[in-house]
Amino acid sequence: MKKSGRCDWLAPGATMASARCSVRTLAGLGSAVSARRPRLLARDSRVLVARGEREVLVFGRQESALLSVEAVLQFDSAVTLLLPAAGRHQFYVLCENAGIHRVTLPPGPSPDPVLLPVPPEAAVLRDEGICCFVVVEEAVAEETLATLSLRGASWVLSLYKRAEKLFESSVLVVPPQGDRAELGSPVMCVVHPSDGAAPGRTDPPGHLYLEPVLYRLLFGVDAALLRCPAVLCGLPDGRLLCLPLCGLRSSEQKVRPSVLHSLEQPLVLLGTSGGPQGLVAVGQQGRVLLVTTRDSDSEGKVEDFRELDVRGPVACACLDGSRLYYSTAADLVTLQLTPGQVPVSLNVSRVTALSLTWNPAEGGAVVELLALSLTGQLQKVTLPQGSEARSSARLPSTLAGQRVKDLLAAIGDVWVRASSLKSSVKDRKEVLRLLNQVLNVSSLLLSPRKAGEAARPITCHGVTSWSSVLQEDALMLRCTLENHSPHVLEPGWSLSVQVQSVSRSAAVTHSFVLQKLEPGRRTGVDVPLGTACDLTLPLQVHTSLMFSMGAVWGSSEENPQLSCVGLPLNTLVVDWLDGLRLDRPSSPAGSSDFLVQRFLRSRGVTSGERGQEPGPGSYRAALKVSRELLASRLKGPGRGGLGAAVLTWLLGQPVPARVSAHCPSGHCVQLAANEVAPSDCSQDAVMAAVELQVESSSMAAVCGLHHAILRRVQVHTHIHTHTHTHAHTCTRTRTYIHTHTHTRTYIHTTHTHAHTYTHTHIHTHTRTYIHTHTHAHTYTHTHTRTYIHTRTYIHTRTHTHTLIHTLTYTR
Amino acid sequence: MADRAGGGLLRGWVDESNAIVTAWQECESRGESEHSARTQFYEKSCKLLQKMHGVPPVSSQVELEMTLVYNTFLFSLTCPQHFDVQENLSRTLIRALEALGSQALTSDLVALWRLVLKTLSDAGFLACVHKLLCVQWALWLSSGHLQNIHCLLLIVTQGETRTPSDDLMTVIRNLGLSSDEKSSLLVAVATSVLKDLLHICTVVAQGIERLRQGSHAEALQAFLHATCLPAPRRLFAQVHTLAGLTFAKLDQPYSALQCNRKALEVDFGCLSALYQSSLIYRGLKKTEAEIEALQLLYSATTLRSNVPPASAVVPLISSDMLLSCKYFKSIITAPSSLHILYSLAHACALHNRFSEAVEHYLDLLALLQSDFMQTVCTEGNVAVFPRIPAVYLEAAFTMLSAKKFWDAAAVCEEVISKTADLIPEKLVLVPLAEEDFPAPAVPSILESTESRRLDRLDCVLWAGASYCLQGHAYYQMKETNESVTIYSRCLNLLAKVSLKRLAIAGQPVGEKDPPKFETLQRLRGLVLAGRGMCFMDQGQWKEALRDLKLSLQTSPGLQNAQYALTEVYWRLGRKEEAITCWKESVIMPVETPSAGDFPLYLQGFSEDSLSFDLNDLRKRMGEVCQTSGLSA
Repeated sequence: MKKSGRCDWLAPGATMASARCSVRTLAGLGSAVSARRPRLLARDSRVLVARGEREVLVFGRQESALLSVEAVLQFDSAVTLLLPAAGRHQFYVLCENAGIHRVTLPPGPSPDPVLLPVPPEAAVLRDEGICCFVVVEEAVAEETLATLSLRGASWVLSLYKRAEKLFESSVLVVPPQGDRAELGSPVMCVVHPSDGAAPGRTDPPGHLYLEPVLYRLLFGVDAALLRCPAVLCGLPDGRLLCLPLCGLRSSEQKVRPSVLHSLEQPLVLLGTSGGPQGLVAVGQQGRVLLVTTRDSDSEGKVEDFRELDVRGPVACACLDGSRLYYSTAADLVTLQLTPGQVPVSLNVSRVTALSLTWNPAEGGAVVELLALSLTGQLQKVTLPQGSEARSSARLPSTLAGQRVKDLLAAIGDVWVRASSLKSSVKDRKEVLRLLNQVLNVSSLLLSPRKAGEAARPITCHGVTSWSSVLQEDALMLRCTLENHSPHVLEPGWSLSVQVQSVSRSAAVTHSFVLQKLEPGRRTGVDVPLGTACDLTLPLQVHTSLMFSMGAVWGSSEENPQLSCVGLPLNTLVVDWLDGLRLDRPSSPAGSSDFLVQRFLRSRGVTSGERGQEPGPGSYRAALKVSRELLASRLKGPGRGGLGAAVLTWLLGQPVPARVSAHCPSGHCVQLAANEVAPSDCSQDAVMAAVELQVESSSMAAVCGLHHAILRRVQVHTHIHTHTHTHAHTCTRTRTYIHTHTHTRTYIHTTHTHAHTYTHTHIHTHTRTYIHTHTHAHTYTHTHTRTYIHTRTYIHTRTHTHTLIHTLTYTR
Repeated sequence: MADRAGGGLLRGWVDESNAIVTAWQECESRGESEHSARTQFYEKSCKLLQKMHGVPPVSSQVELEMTLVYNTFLFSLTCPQHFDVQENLSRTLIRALEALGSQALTSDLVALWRLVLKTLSDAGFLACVHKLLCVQWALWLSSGHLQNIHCLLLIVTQGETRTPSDDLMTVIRNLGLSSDEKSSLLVAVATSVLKDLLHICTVVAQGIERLRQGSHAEALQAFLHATCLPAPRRLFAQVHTLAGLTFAKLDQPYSALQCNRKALEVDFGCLSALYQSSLIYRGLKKTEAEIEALQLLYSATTLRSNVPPASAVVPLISSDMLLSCKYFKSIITAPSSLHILYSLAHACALHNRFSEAVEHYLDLLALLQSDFMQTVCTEGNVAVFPRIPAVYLEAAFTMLSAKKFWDAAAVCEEVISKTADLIPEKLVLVPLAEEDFPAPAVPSILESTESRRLDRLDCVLWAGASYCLQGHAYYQMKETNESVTIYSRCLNLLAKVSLKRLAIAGQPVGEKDPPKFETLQRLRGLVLAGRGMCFMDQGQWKEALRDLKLSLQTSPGLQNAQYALTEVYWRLGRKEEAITCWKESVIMPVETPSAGDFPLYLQGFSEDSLSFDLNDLRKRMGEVCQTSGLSA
């Protein structure tokens, strides 16, 4: 972004903008600068540096832009202030505890550095206490100096002409909060009214030109009429003293400097802003005072003192027009002294002294600062262009093009950042929307269901079918997920189908990712339940909806188990009935591969040991179901009569009243449903029944099918009693359990007789199949008229299945 | 052995001390005793004294040590840093006591001296002790502790004469100090010389003290006594001047003038005598003499400032160092040339010597503009120097009176440009006693807004007066249109000020009015009168009548306005009113407040500035009054 190394503004809302300027080291001093306030003075192509020691280094400009030491002035004590004199190559130097010297440097550059000792006798003014001074007027070889010295507990402001004291006045020192050493040195300047003076004239350092009105307001009409200068002192305690140099007052009123303002912190700089419009004072802790003229209703024009605070500490500062440059220890900062401006960091650190120079080579359009760094380097800081109205007005066309490019680049950069932020916001919004959906769906599925409420809006149903997979027949379950909720199931949702055998604890889980399921739509998945040889029925199929949080954050590779929401849906049961393969009347042998399989099986099985066809001596079970019970379930007798309808209901496809089928293990099974007259329960003549017969050579198949039929009937009975509590219904269940002896168990309950009949039958088969039946029939004739039928099946092998069925019959 | 070594050390120190004095005397005789040289001598003797303080006090060293302190003091008088003289003195006294086996248990200097004089008078150290006594005397004199001096000298005289005396002068007169000098120990100045100077200076100091306290007769007695004492010429002239001042205060101007004449005869450099004379002449209303004195004074000061400061050798001891009292300095210092010039110009203007006054004012303005430093260093003037705008206005007034209209207008313009834009749209003032709020030359934020308003009122007055004078200048130049514009502008300006007059309980309103209010009213009156006369010139009689009547209402006693009003009535044919008006104008000067209460520039102008023939009016009105008086 900062391609050209020029100024680059940030948004105006920022507390500190930043700009880059070019810094060039002109010379090294050879050692770090340790003085509290080193002095730097650029004049007549020479640069004078005082580091707070006895020497003043005089640098001269060589052919190359670098500076080199021309002379070293050596004084008797530490140099604390440097000021230029009117004459060329002449300077005033203030030494600690000694006085003020005027030094004339040899004109012209000298090839070798010379050491020029300055004896203390050469002082223009000898006074040990002088802390600061300013040249008020300079005639040929005689100067009027204003000095400020610390004498005892007071600051003494004196005026000297030719070392003769003309005037002296003192103000008490306000003791500073901290140490005496922290007292700091005062600053001084001479203020003139700028009557008719051309703006922008080169003011000698220490001389300020103020607008006449402001001058009159600050220093009085008398001083303005005489056009006499005023001395302004900034004391280390922050007071701003002024003394107009026309003390024409009555004898009773002594001429005293008056306090204009107090900044309450040591002063670093006095100057003017915006030409002569305002007086500026800069404090060490970053307080900037701006004195301007303001119109007041009651008092006419009045002086206006405004303070603003910038981040300090201010080590040194200088002013160019209305632009203030100051150095904190860490950074060089520029600030336009007009309202609403933001300090701009120039990214130059450790500047300890500053001086303003103009580079005549570039037509004065470029501001250059001369800086002395703490590390002892003299640097030229060329300021970014376009930061000021003045310089931008004179911007050459080539630079303007560059500037436009920079600005465009900056705009592009900002756009990129803005769009990335925008997309990030959009992503977050999307995530929130998704999570909201998840929560909605979860609340739909997890909230407890109230009585009378319709089924869950999202359900899963299953239909089984046989198909051929890898030359092997396999039972497939087609699960259909229906979404009747108002919410869309977004990507991220998946349907999880867990298939678990009732007899085995192991379970297989299949997970299907949903693409997008709109409300009212459905989607289906196929789940393999097992091949013909390894299928163990019955199976329980738990379906659930899963939502992976990884989808939200777009990181699917994360462990999905750790961040999943699981919502259980329906649980399906796949029983023997579902696993039957009906023989087609046209081709009773079934499909070709079935034939092949049968062939293969027949090869390994001795004939006569266990016949494929059900024959005499095979196992058989019968079950009678009352007709009313069935009628509630069946839509009507159908084409083939009631028996066909019952079988059609049970098998889920249209079949006649007698069908033969193959169970998954390959055994042949005969199923028949015959209408029987109610012979045994003669009292209830209206009660017709359907007897269901299962016959097979396989004991397991008969048991499994019997169990399956029983389960379905019971489920329907249950549903039936719930829906027809007001009807005259009698439930009669007959259970035939076929053993070797073809036992028939008949359970009969009547209105008049009440008995509890419990039958326990333990049958041990070669396949160690233990089937425990417990029937508890309780009939209470008394006024409660409650018929409770509890039936418990206990299948004990590796799994215990308990089913408690309560039937409530109310007359 | 130790004694011999000590004796050798002592000899060395004596030689060193003598060497310093000899070197100084050589310098002095060559006439090159510069400031820095004296500082060197001072530093050298200080170092030697420090060396001596390094060894325990021995009686043999006492004399040398005391002599050294005496010399150090003498050298220190011309150096700015003589803080440690008193300290050196006390230490030496204590060491001397210790050397003689006494203990000084007090920090009180008078008590210490009593002990010293008692202990050392017997031991033959009297001459040395008296040297130090003079040093102490001088120190107390320069710091103004006359009471201490009295106590000290009383101890000495009581020790000799045993006659108690209360009067300091009698004590001094009776004082006899041992003056036998030991040739082996050199001193820079003999004790007797110092003692004589101290004597007269003490008398003068006491006289000044009396003068300040207001007991002029006692002061006069002291000064007259001092004139009989031997003194350097400069001091002698100063004493005569002081005597003259005291005579003046005792209302004996002719004796005062006599004294001042004597002072000038003794030392013509005593310019304060001349200045005092001019003040006395002013009091005697001898204008010629006053102006002459001021002229003489001015030429003397300019002459003196043109000559570079004489390289006359400043004596090691002089009365200036001993009489550092500010009051004395303010009396004895002549005012700056600026001040003298102003007094001269003002005096000329007051006594209608306008052409001279213009010259002086122009000189004054040039001086003010050119050399601001001069004005800074004038301190302690007796008379009050006015504010700069007032000086400008006085100059403009003088120019107008001298018929230099264009110059006057230009000077006024300068004041207007500096003041008019500071005037607010409305300035409401509740006047308080002026002296509570001295208008500041430099407004500072610490001062109240009330004082700022007073400052702004000053601006209004200056700008208003400038307009007034400018308007008059154009009126004189017969540019009445321009004049009316300026007068109207001025009235608008003055209308911005509203002064709330506070009736102080028990006092009639107006009696305690601040001068600024009166000044403002006077200014309004003058401006209205000026505009009225412009309207007269233009023949707008009704407008003229309105303005002139308003003018006389605002500021009664404006003679010219009264004449003009009579003329207007006459022209309008309202003879009765004209006669009444004329009669008022004839008796008016008796009861109007004297114009002298107002600044010079608001004095109003002479009758010849009127555009109509006043003599004609007088003749006419005289006749009319006679006839009406006869008819009545």
